[in-house]
Amino acid sequence: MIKTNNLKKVYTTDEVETTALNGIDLEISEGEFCAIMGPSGCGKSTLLNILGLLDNPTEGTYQFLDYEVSDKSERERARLRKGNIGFVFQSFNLIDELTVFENVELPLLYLGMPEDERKEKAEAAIDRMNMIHRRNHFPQQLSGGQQQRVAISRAVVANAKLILADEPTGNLDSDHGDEVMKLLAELNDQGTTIVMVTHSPHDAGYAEHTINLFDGQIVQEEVEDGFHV
Amino acid sequence: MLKNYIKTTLRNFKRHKSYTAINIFGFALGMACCILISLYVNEELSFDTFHEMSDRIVVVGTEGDMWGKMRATPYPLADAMVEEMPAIEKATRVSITGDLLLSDTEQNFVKIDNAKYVEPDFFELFSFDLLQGHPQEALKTPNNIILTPSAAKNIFGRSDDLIGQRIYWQRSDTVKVLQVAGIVEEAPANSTMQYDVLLSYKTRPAAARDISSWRGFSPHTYGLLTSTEAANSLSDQFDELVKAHYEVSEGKEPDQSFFSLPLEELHLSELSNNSGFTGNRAYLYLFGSVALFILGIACVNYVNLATARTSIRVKEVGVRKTLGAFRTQLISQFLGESVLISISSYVIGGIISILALPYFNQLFGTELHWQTDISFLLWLLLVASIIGVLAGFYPALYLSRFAPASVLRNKFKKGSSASWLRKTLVVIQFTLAVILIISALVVYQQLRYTQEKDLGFDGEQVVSVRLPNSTAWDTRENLKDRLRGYSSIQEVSIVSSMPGGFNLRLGYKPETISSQVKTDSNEPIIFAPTVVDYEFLKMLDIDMVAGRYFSKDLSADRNQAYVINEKAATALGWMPDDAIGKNVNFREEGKIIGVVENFHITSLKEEIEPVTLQLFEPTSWSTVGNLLVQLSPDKITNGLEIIESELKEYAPSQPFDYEFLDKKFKAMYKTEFRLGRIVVLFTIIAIIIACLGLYGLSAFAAERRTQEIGIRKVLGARIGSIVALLSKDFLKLVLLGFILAVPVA
Ligand SMILES: Nc1ncnc2c1ncn2[C@@H]1O[C@H](COP(=O)(O)OP(=O)(O)OP(=O)(O)O)[C@@H](O)[C@H]1O
Ligand SMILES: [Mg+2]
Repeated sequence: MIKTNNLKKVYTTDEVETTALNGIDLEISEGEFCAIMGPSGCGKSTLLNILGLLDNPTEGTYQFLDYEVSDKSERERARLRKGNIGFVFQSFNLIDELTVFENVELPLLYLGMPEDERKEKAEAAIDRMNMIHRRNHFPQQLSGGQQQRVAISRAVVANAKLILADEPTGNLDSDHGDEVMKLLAELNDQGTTIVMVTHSPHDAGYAEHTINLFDGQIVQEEVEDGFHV
Repeated sequence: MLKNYIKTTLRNFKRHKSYTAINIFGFALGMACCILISLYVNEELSFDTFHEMSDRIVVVGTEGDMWGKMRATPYPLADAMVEEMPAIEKATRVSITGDLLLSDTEQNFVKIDNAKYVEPDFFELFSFDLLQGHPQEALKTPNNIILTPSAAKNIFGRSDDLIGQRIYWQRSDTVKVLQVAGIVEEAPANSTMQYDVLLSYKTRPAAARDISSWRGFSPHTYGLLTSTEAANSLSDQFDELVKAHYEVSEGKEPDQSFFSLPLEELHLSELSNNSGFTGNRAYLYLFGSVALFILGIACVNYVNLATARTSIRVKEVGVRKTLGAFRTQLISQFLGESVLISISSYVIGGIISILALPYFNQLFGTELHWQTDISFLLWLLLVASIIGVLAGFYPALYLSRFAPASVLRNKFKKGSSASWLRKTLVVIQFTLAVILIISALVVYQQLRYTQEKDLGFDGEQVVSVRLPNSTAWDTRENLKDRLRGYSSIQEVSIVSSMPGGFNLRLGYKPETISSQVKTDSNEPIIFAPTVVDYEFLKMLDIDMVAGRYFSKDLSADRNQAYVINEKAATALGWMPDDAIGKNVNFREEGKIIGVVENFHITSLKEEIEPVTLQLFEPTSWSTVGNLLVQLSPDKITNGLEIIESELKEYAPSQPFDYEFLDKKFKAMYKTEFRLGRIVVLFTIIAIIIACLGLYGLSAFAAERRTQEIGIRKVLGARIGSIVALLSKDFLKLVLLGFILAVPVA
């Protein structure tokens, strides 16, 4: 599903160049649960953004679903993104002006789905996260765990094949964090590919594939029971 | 999708109420100004366009070396145009006569202000509806009159079943009988042709219809072109016509020529009887640009506040993009938002403009109505939407620009990016406001200057006020003394009636006046007797032709002396010099001591009547009289206030209504007076809108700062002081705006 070759990302701000990623070769196949770990600033989010087609790499190639995407325009990437990739963020990133239902419905709107179908799918997704009783609440009226569950509903509502999660438990206490991790694991069981950035070895334990980054490079990769460097 | 956008937008408005209120209110104020000014501009541009063939009607005038351009034309011109000019299909004459005294019985004459002599073709050129009567026949025969419903009500008390009714017209010494031949709709307000009654042209005395005279100029001539393109050949064809009818020596330019101008352009041309702010292109441009300035300032507010709120909206942008929104979708969402704001503002501005219209009319001296005309409203709605798009364009581009990756990193640097833009815009905004103020002042000065030059001011600032009642008249000497005591009042005179507005006429058979009368006619001569005082002559700057005016030193002047005008002398068959010393009897016996020139001041009436001036009141006389006051040129307003308060002593409830003797002066003075207020008003509005924006920016910055500092709990006291603090920053920008504006303006 994901295949990168020598990915590089260089940020240039005020004439200072930061190399966030420095030659990433990576392969994640369909149905995998992959965790990306590493110290702060090592480039985890940058990598996730590129994998999620939110950003283009400075150098290197990236095949998503066997399709070369590293040089695609913003519009092209947006088109590929919707319906294929769902996102879950540390800070939930729900739109404050929209209710739970409307937030979850949003990806379907951008897919141009007719209203009845949208309603059915969004409600199913919310129900799946046990949030249906809160469907008309606004994000501020919910706890962090609840907000994250809404965010996961939104990520799955369009039947995304890939879910990218950037420290999904980072803003939650361990009980709620566990709950979120179980939901992700469940989704993975049902066939969704998950790539998750995390600082927590406990959360990484849910994954079968772990990647350790340091200074923009992969320093250690562990798949199932085997190691390789 | 649209529903989702609208929901987000409305909830966004709700959450940021003060932001939205500032935006909408500023916009609405700007729109209200624009709507009112558009009404005014629309009215001005719509003059005479309601005629079906308005694009083919031309106004013809005479241009001469001696008098420049004028509307009066020779009588035979209309016929010659039709016969000799291929471009002209029809032509019709219209003659203006002053006010008429009409009645349905032979007494109780009613004054009808605006009467015109018109020819049968009148209704073929102009699209005024004849409500009753036959358009062709009504104007064919002499002594036919067509009334507007209001004139009919004035004369008959009704406007139905009047065809064939008689109307008596008191015309100096005779009473003429007219026949009602039709009822015509009132001319619309945006018609340069105005009338209360129309008389068939043949009613006009034969002398005034001298078919052969190319040297006399009186009727107005209108022509109908064969096609709109024919206008191009008019000037050549007029040249031919001049050659055919005037003796033009070889190689010399003719003394006069004819010119034409499209009827639709008449109102805004130099030939129109413009008064106040109507009929003058300069005002159209002035107020039009004021409206655009104000709207511009309101748009800048929108751009500023919208980009200042970037940090609030940026997360939404990131999320929507992450979920697959295209940039174009976000742009249209934000444009939709600003259009929603501008349309709400349009609605509120519309309401404000409806409420403000009476004041606007008062200020502008216009009679505008809120258009019930849907297309005009839709037009404005379209303009409002376009303004929304224009104002929202930059913010939409700016907001939709953010890449989701950087926004969602939570490390977005708040609001720094566009702040240079906002600062620039605030400076521009205040520069605009100051340019507005300064240019308005310049226009104001300019107008003042041209007025002073035109009118020469000397002796022309005489104001005439009708005395409130007979007590005032009876104690007039006291009133005069009191008024003279004020420094803003130069001279005072009280007379029984105003020249041009004589309200009493007395007829005498010539032989009863004096045995020395040199006239063969035995018909009574009608005089307008006027009770004057010693100051009258000087005040109005009337010249003596022979003899002398009344003198305070000669007691006989007080009750046995008459001063007559030249016209009166002529009527009695005397040369001015002959008249002096003649014993006469105009109800009282007396001696003619002087003859004054024929004067007419308030009215441009064609005919001057015989007038007698006297210091004493004729027996069985009753009047309330007129007060004439010469004001100091630099203290006109103050002088008017003094007169008002003095007259209120006599009749507290009567409205104070004054008139400057020189009509033009009056109109211009009122215009200047009003322009001053309009300038102040619009400037205040512009500044209010700009300050609203500034307030919004500083309040927003304050809110953000308090959030950052984490002292939200003590908002109350703190926010005020922080706004003040931040305003200081902005004040610097305002000052910069001022400094930049001065050289530009
Ligand atoms: N938009 C950007 N512009 C400039 N530099 C950036 C940008 N985004 C990331 N960086 C830099 O790239 C490097 C990698 O950042 P990244 O956010 O990927 O780290 P991270 O591993 O996700 O860290 P954290 O655990 O703190 O989230 C950092 O040094 C960061 O400062
Ligand atoms: Mg990160």
